[in-house]
Amino acid sequence: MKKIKKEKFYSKLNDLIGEYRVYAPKGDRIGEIRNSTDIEVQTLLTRLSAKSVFLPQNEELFRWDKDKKIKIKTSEKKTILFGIRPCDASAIAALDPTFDTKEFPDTYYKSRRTNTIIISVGCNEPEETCFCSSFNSGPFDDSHSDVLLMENSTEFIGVGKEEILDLFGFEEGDGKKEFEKIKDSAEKKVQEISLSGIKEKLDSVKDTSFFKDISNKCINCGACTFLCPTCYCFDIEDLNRVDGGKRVRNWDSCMFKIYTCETSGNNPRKEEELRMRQRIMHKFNYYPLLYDVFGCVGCGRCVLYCPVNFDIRSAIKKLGD
Amino acid sequence: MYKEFEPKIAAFLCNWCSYAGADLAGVSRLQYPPYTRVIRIPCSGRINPFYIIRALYEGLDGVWVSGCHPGDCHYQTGNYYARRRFALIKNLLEFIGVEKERVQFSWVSASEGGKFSEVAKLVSEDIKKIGPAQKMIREKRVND
Amino acid sequence: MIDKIRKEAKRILEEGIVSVVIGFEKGSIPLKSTPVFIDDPKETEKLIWDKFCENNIATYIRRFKGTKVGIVANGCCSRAIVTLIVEAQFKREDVYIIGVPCEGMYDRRMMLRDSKTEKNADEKYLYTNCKYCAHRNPVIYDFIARDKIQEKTSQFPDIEQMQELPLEERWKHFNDEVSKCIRCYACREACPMCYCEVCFVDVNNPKWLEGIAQESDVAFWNLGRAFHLAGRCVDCGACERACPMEIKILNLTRKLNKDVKELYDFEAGVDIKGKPALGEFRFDDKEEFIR
Repeated sequence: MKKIKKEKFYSKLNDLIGEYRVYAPKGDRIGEIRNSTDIEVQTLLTRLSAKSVFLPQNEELFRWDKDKKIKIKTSEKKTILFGIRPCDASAIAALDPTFDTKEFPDTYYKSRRTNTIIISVGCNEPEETCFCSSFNSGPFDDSHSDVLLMENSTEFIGVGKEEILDLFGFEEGDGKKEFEKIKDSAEKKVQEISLSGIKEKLDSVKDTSFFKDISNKCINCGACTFLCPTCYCFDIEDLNRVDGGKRVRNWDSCMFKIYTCETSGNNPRKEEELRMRQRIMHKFNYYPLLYDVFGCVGCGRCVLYCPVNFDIRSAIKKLGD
Repeated sequence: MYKEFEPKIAAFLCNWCSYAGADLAGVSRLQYPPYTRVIRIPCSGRINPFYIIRALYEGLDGVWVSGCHPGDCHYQTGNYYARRRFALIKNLLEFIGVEKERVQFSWVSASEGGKFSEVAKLVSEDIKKIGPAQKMIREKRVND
Repeated sequence: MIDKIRKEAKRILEEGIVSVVIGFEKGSIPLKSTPVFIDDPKETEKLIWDKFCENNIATYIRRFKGTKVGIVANGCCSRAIVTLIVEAQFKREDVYIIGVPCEGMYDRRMMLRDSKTEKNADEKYLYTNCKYCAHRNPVIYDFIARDKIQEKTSQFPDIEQMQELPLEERWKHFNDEVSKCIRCYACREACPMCYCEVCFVDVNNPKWLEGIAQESDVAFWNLGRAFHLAGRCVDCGACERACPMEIKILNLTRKLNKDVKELYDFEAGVDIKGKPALGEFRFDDKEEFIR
């Protein structure tokens, strides 16, 4: 197994800043860093997930000026995404089928997504709310990252693409035993909920009373959708300016009451239980039906930050009964 | 050549008193600085405090709201309700760090042409002293 | 005390006085209690009351139109109920209030950061508005779960301290806080008094503010919401506790509560027969700031 001293890794990372855009945890969100000293890890998972790198909260689609000339804004620089967790990496892999399709690729997402190196860091101490193992994943899952690192006090032990490990200067070392030990203990801490037959179970729910029971306390605040690494609903807004204007794409939430409000005033999802049903069906029924992957990665942010402690794990368990 | 700062001040004037007062100031040829842009409203009670926040959001350097004296409101009680709203919005804006001279209020009656031009002078001087607005302004141009 | 709450909840369900009791049960993550809706008398054993019942459950009453609901309410929750009754959202007969004198809620996020448990946390962890709460006893109730506790006078040392700071520092404090805002509107949904069919941010005509994360827009949103609660906010803190980015929203709402108290001697939700502060006036209201 290859390893590297942390100072050496960060020094190489600093060298690459400039040629690459480097994103890393900065407190409560993933942001662009100018130097490795900008990296700030406050909690295991950043509040705002890595989806904001590829699907920013406010993205300018194009702008126009008084002469009606339209300029489309995309970014073409190479990117390194460092310091995210394996669940964040799985989430990006889950977003790809929606935005990076063959027939209708999303120009903006695609321009950020291609030429991106994902270096994720495994979770030595998963949170109580983590349940990533329910999705064929785990705290040291490397299937969706270019390189997965295990962090100890002085070094990074890495697995993954050889050319990237060589780029940073990883060298052969005796990290395998330590890696396996931490991996085992971390995997034991993660809760695994059973998802077998969940699609069929959801298909068989005939009326909304099940969803009404569980969604009574949901206040439809939208915090879960904004922090969720796989939620991607958006709203388009045209902004007028003195010398022209621009069209932007902003995050939206299916949990907002007016999300499905139509121009006529009709709102097909006016009641809370219908919005909760939509959220659960989308993540565990519609998405796997379309793309063979769940719309949830088990990061647990929604459980941790929900003001009224709506727990999707309990909802899934209840469905099993 | 250094250009003198010419503030943009939104003046919300109630139709029955302050606007008439401004009219009288004009007819009497009383001089006051040209920085106030008048918006005529039926009553000071019509002022939604969001108009004041919105004016600062658009980048105006100052907001001046003027109505009838308490007891003289054309609609009897409009300015009484407005008085409470004004006190609260002024305190809130000052609390968050907006200069207290940016948002000003006055009672000017239809016969007080002189007071109108005086207050216009004072408000303009205050705003000139504190300089252009720099906080909470939305993006003006798309090609900056 | 908890036994009394459970017993009374069971009684009103069994006797058909109410169709559902809204209260708190133990949450699924550490140091958290979660709202629960009980319609089966046998399940009233789930009800609890501890230092983590931090949401304001008066928001849920309006979902049960046409039926009488029971609610386990402390001081700020009962004040919210009174404010909603004053604003004609429902009638006094539509609620059965099981009153709970409350000594405050602990800041669970601070406790988790300091690795405290319920046993070894002390009063240092009380939320700011709980520390200075002047209405710890429910202001109206149909049943009270224990003897009333002593009330403190209303005070705002946290706001007074902020008012002393120079102008630019106040702006920096405010701007640093609101720039964290991600416009998720959790604060709005958590607040019992935010029940507008169409919130001002969603109104298209006039379009008050934009959806992008500019300094001007997040400032407008937070200021605007605080102002719409002037004279209506009961200082329950549900907004700040719901915020996923931990913005200190209470700095704005408490400032307005302080002004309303000092200028107009009014506190929301205390007088069920009163009128909202901005819905009335007095001839001698202060106007020294008006030229």
